[in-house]
Amino acid sequence: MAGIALAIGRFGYDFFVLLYNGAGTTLYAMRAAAWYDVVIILASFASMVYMMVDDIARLKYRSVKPTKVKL
Amino acid sequence: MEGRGTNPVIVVPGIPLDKRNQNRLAKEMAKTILAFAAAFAVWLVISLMQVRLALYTGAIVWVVSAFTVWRMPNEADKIINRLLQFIVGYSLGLLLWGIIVRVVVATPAAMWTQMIGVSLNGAYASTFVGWMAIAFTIALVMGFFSYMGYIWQLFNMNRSREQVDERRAAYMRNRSFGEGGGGTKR
Repeated sequence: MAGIALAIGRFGYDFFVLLYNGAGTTLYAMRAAAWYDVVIILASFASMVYMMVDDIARLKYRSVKPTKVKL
Repeated sequence: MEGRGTNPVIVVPGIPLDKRNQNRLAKEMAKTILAFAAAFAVWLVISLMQVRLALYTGAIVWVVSAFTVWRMPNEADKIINRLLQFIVGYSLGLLLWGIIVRVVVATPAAMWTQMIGVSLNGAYASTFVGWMAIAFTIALVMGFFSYMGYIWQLFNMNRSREQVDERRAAYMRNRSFGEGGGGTKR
Protein backbone atom coordinates (compact mmCIF):
# COMPACT_ATOMS: atom_id res chain seq x y z
CA MET A 1 0.00 0.00 0.00
CA ALA A 2 2.81 2.35 0.92
CA GLY A 3 4.51 1.52 -2.37
CA ILE A 4 1.41 2.31 -4.37
CA ALA A 5 0.91 5.59 -2.49
CA LEU A 6 4.55 6.41 -3.10
CA ALA A 7 4.21 5.63 -6.80
CA ILE A 8 1.10 7.82 -7.13
CA GLY A 9 2.81 10.63 -5.27
CA ARG A 10 5.85 10.28 -7.43
CA PHE A 11 3.71 10.33 -10.55
CA GLY A 12 1.88 13.47 -9.45
CA TYR A 13 5.11 15.18 -8.48
CA ASP A 14 6.70 14.35 -11.81
CA PHE A 15 3.62 15.56 -13.64
CA PHE A 16 3.67 18.95 -11.92
CA VAL A 17 7.41 19.31 -12.41
CA LEU A 18 6.88 18.52 -16.07
CA LEU A 19 4.13 21.14 -16.38
CA TYR A 20 6.21 23.70 -14.51
CA ASN A 21 9.29 23.09 -16.63
CA GLY A 22 7.22 22.59 -19.75
CA ALA A 23 6.51 26.24 -20.44
CA GLY A 24 10.14 27.23 -20.12
CA THR A 25 11.31 24.25 -22.15
CA THR A 26 8.84 25.05 -24.92
CA LEU A 27 10.01 28.64 -25.11
CA TYR A 28 13.62 27.52 -25.09
CA ALA A 29 12.91 24.92 -27.78
CA MET A 30 11.20 27.56 -29.91
CA ARG A 31 14.17 29.89 -29.52
CA ALA A 32 16.59 27.08 -30.29
CA ALA A 33 14.60 25.80 -33.26
CA ALA A 34 16.39 25.39 -36.55
CA TRP A 35 15.15 27.21 -39.66
CA TYR A 36 13.56 24.06 -41.04
CA ASP A 37 11.63 23.58 -37.80
CA VAL A 38 10.17 27.05 -38.26
CA VAL A 39 9.26 26.21 -41.86
CA ILE A 40 7.64 22.95 -40.74
CA ILE A 41 5.60 24.69 -38.03
CA LEU A 42 4.49 27.41 -40.45
CA ALA A 43 3.46 24.81 -43.04
CA SER A 44 1.44 22.94 -40.41
CA PHE A 45 -0.17 26.18 -39.28
CA ALA A 46 -1.09 27.06 -42.86
CA SER A 47 -2.63 23.59 -43.33
CA MET A 48 -4.59 24.01 -40.11
CA VAL A 49 -5.92 27.41 -41.19
CA TYR A 50 -6.85 26.06 -44.62
CA MET A 51 -8.84 23.19 -43.12
CA MET A 52 -10.48 25.48 -40.56
CA VAL A 53 -11.61 27.95 -43.23
CA ASP A 54 -12.84 25.07 -45.39
CA ASP A 55 -14.77 23.63 -42.47
CA ILE A 56 -16.36 26.98 -41.61
CA ALA A 57 -17.35 27.51 -45.24
CA ARG A 58 -19.20 24.18 -45.21
CA LEU A 59 -20.64 24.72 -41.76
CA LYS A 60 -23.99 26.02 -43.02
CA TYR A 61 -24.58 23.04 -45.26
CA ARG A 62 -23.16 20.32 -43.05
CA SER A 63 -25.95 20.08 -40.54
CA VAL A 64 -28.96 21.01 -42.61
CA LYS A 65 -32.17 19.86 -41.04
CA PRO A 66 -34.47 18.50 -43.73
CA THR A 67 -37.52 20.72 -44.19
CA LYS A 68 -40.79 19.37 -45.51
CA VAL A 69 -42.36 21.42 -48.25
CA LYS A 70 -46.11 21.20 -48.82
CA LEU A 71 -47.05 21.29 -52.47
CA MET B 1 -14.80 18.14 -31.20
CA GLU B 2 -17.72 15.80 -30.90
CA GLY B 3 -20.05 18.74 -30.58
CA ARG B 4 -19.24 20.24 -33.94
CA GLY B 5 -22.23 20.24 -36.25
CA THR B 6 -24.74 19.17 -33.64
CA ASN B 7 -26.90 22.31 -33.84
CA PRO B 8 -28.93 22.10 -37.03
CA VAL B 9 -28.95 25.25 -39.14
CA ILE B 10 -31.85 25.52 -41.53
CA VAL B 11 -30.78 27.00 -44.83
CA VAL B 12 -33.25 28.11 -47.47
CA PRO B 13 -31.54 29.38 -50.64
CA GLY B 14 -32.28 33.05 -51.26
CA ILE B 15 -33.57 33.79 -47.77
CA PRO B 16 -31.15 35.15 -45.14
CA LEU B 17 -30.81 33.28 -41.85
CA ASP B 18 -33.09 34.28 -39.01
CA LYS B 19 -31.78 35.30 -35.60
CA ARG B 20 -31.95 31.82 -34.09
CA ASN B 21 -30.04 30.20 -36.91
CA GLN B 22 -27.50 33.03 -36.93
CA ASN B 23 -26.83 32.29 -33.27
CA ARG B 24 -26.50 28.59 -33.99
CA LEU B 25 -24.11 29.25 -36.83
CA ALA B 26 -22.00 31.57 -34.66
CA LYS B 27 -21.85 28.88 -31.98
CA GLU B 28 -20.76 26.27 -34.50
CA MET B 29 -18.10 28.62 -35.85
CA ALA B 30 -16.73 29.25 -32.37
CA LYS B 31 -16.64 25.51 -31.69
CA THR B 32 -14.78 24.85 -34.93
CA ILE B 33 -12.17 27.56 -34.38
CA LEU B 34 -11.68 26.43 -30.79
CA ALA B 35 -11.28 22.78 -31.76
CA PHE B 36 -8.67 23.51 -34.42
CA ALA B 37 -6.74 25.96 -32.25
CA ALA B 38 -6.76 23.60 -29.26
CA ALA B 39 -5.59 20.62 -31.30
CA PHE B 40 -2.81 22.63 -32.90
CA ALA B 41 -1.68 24.11 -29.57
CA VAL B 42 -1.67 20.73 -27.81
CA TRP B 43 0.34 19.14 -30.59
CA LEU B 44 2.83 22.02 -30.88
CA VAL B 45 3.50 22.41 -27.17
CA ILE B 46 3.87 18.68 -26.49
CA SER B 47 6.03 18.01 -29.53
CA LEU B 48 8.33 20.95 -28.80
CA MET B 49 8.41 20.22 -25.08
CA GLN B 50 9.01 16.52 -25.05
CA VAL B 51 8.90 14.50 -28.23
CA ARG B 52 10.81 16.18 -31.02
CA LEU B 53 10.06 13.46 -33.57
CA ALA B 54 6.31 14.08 -33.06
CA LEU B 55 6.92 17.54 -34.53
CA TYR B 56 7.85 15.99 -37.85
CA THR B 57 5.26 13.19 -37.89
CA GLY B 58 2.55 15.63 -36.77
CA ALA B 59 3.54 18.16 -39.43
CA ILE B 60 3.27 15.46 -42.10
CA VAL B 61 -0.18 14.57 -40.73
CA TRP B 62 -1.37 18.21 -40.89
CA VAL B 63 -0.09 18.81 -44.41
CA VAL B 64 -1.30 15.49 -45.82
CA SER B 65 -4.74 16.03 -44.27
CA ALA B 66 -5.01 19.49 -45.82
CA PHE B 67 -4.03 18.04 -49.19
CA THR B 68 -6.64 15.30 -48.81
CA VAL B 69 -9.34 17.80 -47.84
CA TRP B 70 -8.47 19.84 -50.92
CA ARG B 71 -8.66 16.79 -53.18
CA MET B 72 -11.79 15.21 -51.65
CA PRO B 73 -14.35 17.77 -50.53
CA ASN B 74 -16.94 15.04 -50.01
CA GLU B 75 -14.77 13.34 -47.37
CA ALA B 76 -13.70 16.56 -45.66
CA ASP B 77 -15.98 16.23 -42.61
CA LYS B 78 -14.75 12.76 -41.79
CA ILE B 79 -11.10 13.63 -42.42
CA ILE B 80 -11.23 16.71 -40.20
CA ASN B 81 -12.99 14.94 -37.33
CA ARG B 82 -10.55 12.07 -37.53
CA LEU B 83 -7.56 14.40 -37.77
CA LEU B 84 -8.53 16.39 -34.68
CA GLN B 85 -9.18 13.25 -32.64
CA PHE B 86 -5.94 11.68 -33.85
CA ILE B 87 -3.65 14.63 -33.25
CA VAL B 88 -4.93 15.27 -29.71
CA GLY B 89 -4.91 11.58 -28.75
CA TYR B 90 -1.48 11.01 -30.28
CA SER B 91 0.09 14.00 -28.51
CA LEU B 92 -1.50 13.32 -25.12
CA GLY B 93 -0.72 9.59 -25.38
CA LEU B 94 2.93 10.30 -26.10
CA LEU B 95 3.05 12.79 -23.22
CA LEU B 96 1.53 10.27 -20.83
CA TRP B 97 3.82 7.47 -21.98
CA GLY B 98 6.82 9.79 -21.64
CA ILE B 99 5.84 10.56 -18.05
CA ILE B 100 5.47 6.85 -17.31
CA VAL B 101 8.92 6.15 -18.75
CA ARG B 102 10.37 8.93 -16.60
CA VAL B 103 8.72 7.51 -13.50
CA VAL B 104 9.92 3.98 -14.28
CA VAL B 105 13.47 5.18 -14.92
CA ALA B 106 13.47 7.10 -11.66
CA THR B 107 12.21 4.12 -9.64
CA PRO B 108 14.98 1.88 -8.25
CA ALA B 109 14.69 -1.92 -8.37
CA ALA B 110 14.27 -2.08 -4.60
CA MET B 111 11.08 -0.07 -4.81
CA TRP B 112 9.67 -2.34 -7.51
CA THR B 113 10.39 -5.26 -5.24
CA GLN B 114 8.56 -3.51 -2.41
CA MET B 115 5.55 -2.71 -4.60
CA ILE B 116 5.10 -6.03 -6.38
CA GLY B 117 6.15 -8.23 -3.49
CA VAL B 118 8.53 -10.31 -5.60
CA SER B 119 12.26 -9.81 -5.39
CA LEU B 120 13.64 -8.47 -8.66
CA ASN B 121 17.25 -8.08 -9.56
CA GLY B 122 18.77 -5.03 -11.22
CA ALA B 123 19.01 -6.66 -14.64
CA TYR B 124 15.25 -7.12 -14.79
CA ALA B 125 14.66 -3.47 -13.90
CA SER B 126 17.03 -2.21 -16.60
CA THR B 127 15.43 -4.55 -19.17
CA PHE B 128 12.02 -3.20 -18.24
CA VAL B 129 13.18 0.39 -18.68
CA GLY B 130 14.66 -0.43 -22.08
CA TRP B 131 11.44 -2.12 -23.13
CA MET B 132 9.39 0.93 -22.09
CA ALA B 133 11.59 3.22 -24.19
CA ILE B 134 11.32 0.91 -27.21
CA ALA B 135 7.53 0.73 -26.78
CA PHE B 136 7.48 4.54 -26.77
CA THR B 137 9.30 4.65 -30.10
CA ILE B 138 6.99 2.00 -31.56
CA ALA B 139 3.91 3.96 -30.43
CA LEU B 140 5.34 7.11 -31.97
CA VAL B 141 5.88 5.48 -35.35
CA MET B 142 2.87 3.15 -35.49
CA GLY B 143 0.35 5.83 -34.52
CA PHE B 144 1.61 7.88 -37.43
CA PHE B 145 1.43 4.89 -39.77
CA SER B 146 -2.13 4.10 -38.70
CA TYR B 147 -3.27 7.59 -39.71
CA MET B 148 -1.37 7.36 -42.99
CA GLY B 149 -3.12 4.03 -43.61
CA TYR B 150 -6.47 5.80 -43.28
CA ILE B 151 -5.44 8.44 -45.81
CA TRP B 152 -4.12 5.70 -48.13
CA GLN B 153 -7.50 3.96 -47.97
CA LEU B 154 -9.26 7.21 -48.89
CA PHE B 155 -7.06 7.68 -51.93
CA ASN B 156 -7.64 4.09 -52.95
CA MET B 157 -11.41 4.54 -52.72
CA ASN B 158 -11.55 7.82 -54.63
CA ARG B 159 -9.19 7.20 -57.49
CA SER B 160 -10.23 9.70 -60.10
CA ARG B 161 -11.08 13.37 -59.86
CA GLU B 162 -14.24 12.81 -61.94
CA GLN B 163 -15.55 10.27 -59.47
CA VAL B 164 -14.96 12.66 -56.60
CA ASP B 165 -16.77 15.49 -58.38
CA GLU B 166 -19.66 13.19 -59.26
CA ARG B 167 -20.03 12.03 -55.69
CA ARG B 168 -19.80 15.55 -54.40
CA ALA B 169 -22.55 16.70 -56.78
CA ALA B 170 -24.78 13.83 -55.69
CA TYR B 171 -24.07 14.63 -52.06
CA MET B 172 -24.87 18.31 -52.41
CA ARG B 173 -28.08 17.63 -54.36
CA ASN B 174 -29.36 15.32 -51.70
CA ARG B 175 -28.40 17.44 -48.76
CA SER B 176 -29.19 20.97 -49.93
CA PHE B 177 -32.76 20.90 -51.13
CA GLY B 178 -36.09 19.44 -50.22
CA GLU B 179 -36.53 16.11 -48.59
CA GLY B 180 -32.86 15.42 -48.00
CA GLY B 181 -30.99 12.26 -47.09
CA GLY B 182 -31.75 8.72 -48.07
CA GLY B 183 -29.74 8.85 -51.28
CA THR B 184 -32.83 8.93 -53.52
CA LYS B 185 -33.01 11.22 -56.51
CA ARG B 186 -36.17 13.12 -57.21
